[in-house]
Amino acid sequence: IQEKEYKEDINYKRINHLDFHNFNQDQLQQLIDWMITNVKRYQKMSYQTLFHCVELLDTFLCNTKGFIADDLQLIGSCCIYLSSKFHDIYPICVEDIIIDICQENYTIHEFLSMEYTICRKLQYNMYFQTPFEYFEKIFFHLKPFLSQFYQDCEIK
Amino acid sequence: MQIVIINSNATELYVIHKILYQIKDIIYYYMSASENVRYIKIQKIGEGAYGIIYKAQDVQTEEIVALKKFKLSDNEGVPSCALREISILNQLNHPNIIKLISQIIINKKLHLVMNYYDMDLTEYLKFNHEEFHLKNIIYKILLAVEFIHNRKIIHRDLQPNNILITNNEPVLIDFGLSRVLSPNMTPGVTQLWYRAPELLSNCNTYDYAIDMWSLGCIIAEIALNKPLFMGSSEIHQLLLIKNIINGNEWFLHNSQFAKLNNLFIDLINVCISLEFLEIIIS
Repeated sequence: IQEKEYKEDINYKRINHLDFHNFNQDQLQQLIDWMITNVKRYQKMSYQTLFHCVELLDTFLCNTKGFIADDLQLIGSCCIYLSSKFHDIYPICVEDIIIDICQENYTIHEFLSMEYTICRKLQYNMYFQTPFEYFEKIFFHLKPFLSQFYQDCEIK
Repeated sequence: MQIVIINSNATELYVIHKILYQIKDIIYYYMSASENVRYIKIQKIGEGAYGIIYKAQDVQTEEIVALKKFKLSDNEGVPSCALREISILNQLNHPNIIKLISQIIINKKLHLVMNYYDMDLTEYLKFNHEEFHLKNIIYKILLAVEFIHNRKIIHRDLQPNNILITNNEPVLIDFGLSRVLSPNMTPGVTQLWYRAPELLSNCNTYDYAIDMWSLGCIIAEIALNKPLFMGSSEIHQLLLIKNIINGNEWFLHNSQFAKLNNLFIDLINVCISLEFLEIIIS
């Protein structure tokens, strides 16, 4: 059963979504950099939140068409808000995100309606396998070897 | 919705987008209004911190379903417990775990549509049953919990009220408190009688063991026909748990367990393991 599920994971709809939207790769790169710096600035958020929000952005852009570059900031901040709700004990407030992260470019109403469209497009499926979990698992298994390796280094 | 506009300014595009979004909102509002008629609420079943549960009937198929209504606040958007519950339930496909039929929006409030079962484990235990059926129920619950834990999910609210029974088969419900495993989590979960000692001592970093603790309590309750620890407060609960610290001896001296098989006591003992408690006391 597990092998089948793994294959389904690989065949998951991964298309080059840049063809369907009206922005180029540099702008997307800028957005992701901006998201990472903002998530890192808030101490409460974990690394899982960071990986999850980038994954969420990717799957959302795969399933939609026709967004322009001006919308990207709104989508990115909504993804941060959703993933923070999903993973953190105390998620950040809406006001914090609008005032601090978006610098009041959008109103609360626009923000919440965008969040709602993301939820409806994905049909509330927010549970993804992120690269972070694979790394966690690999390093968990490697832990005894690594500690042995470092001990050997110290002796030399 | 596909828009192809060539040779136009970015500002014009942006204005068109804004208008289209408003039209979309209106269309979806009316679409949800038509779905409003599909389910008719019959009566209220239960109520919790997350929202209210209704018993309802589907008009098209004349099937009886359970509707779970979430309290939506205006300035927070989708509630986080709803997000977690829907996305986790969509992942789980198992005969002993409840199936999510769909999620709809009535009067701007999020509703979950699920199958309706009328029997509870606490109600089920009020009558006498054959030993074979009880063993089957314990085995199926253990399978379902193993299935959840393999997906890196913790249930966090296991108790007899959250296990429904149809035709002597158990069904796990209520994933409102469940979440994906992470290093930091809130300690105030699970009902008091089924709460693990690490939760009672306000620990932030716990894992699947808390589910196993409440499972052990449930298995003992199925065998004895009454709850294992009935504490009135957190400290009283900890004192009751302290009695069990000698493990096997306590079970041997207690007359309640005299009728039970040794293997069965071992099963309970493994679920309620006390490694953590011994660290605290020493």
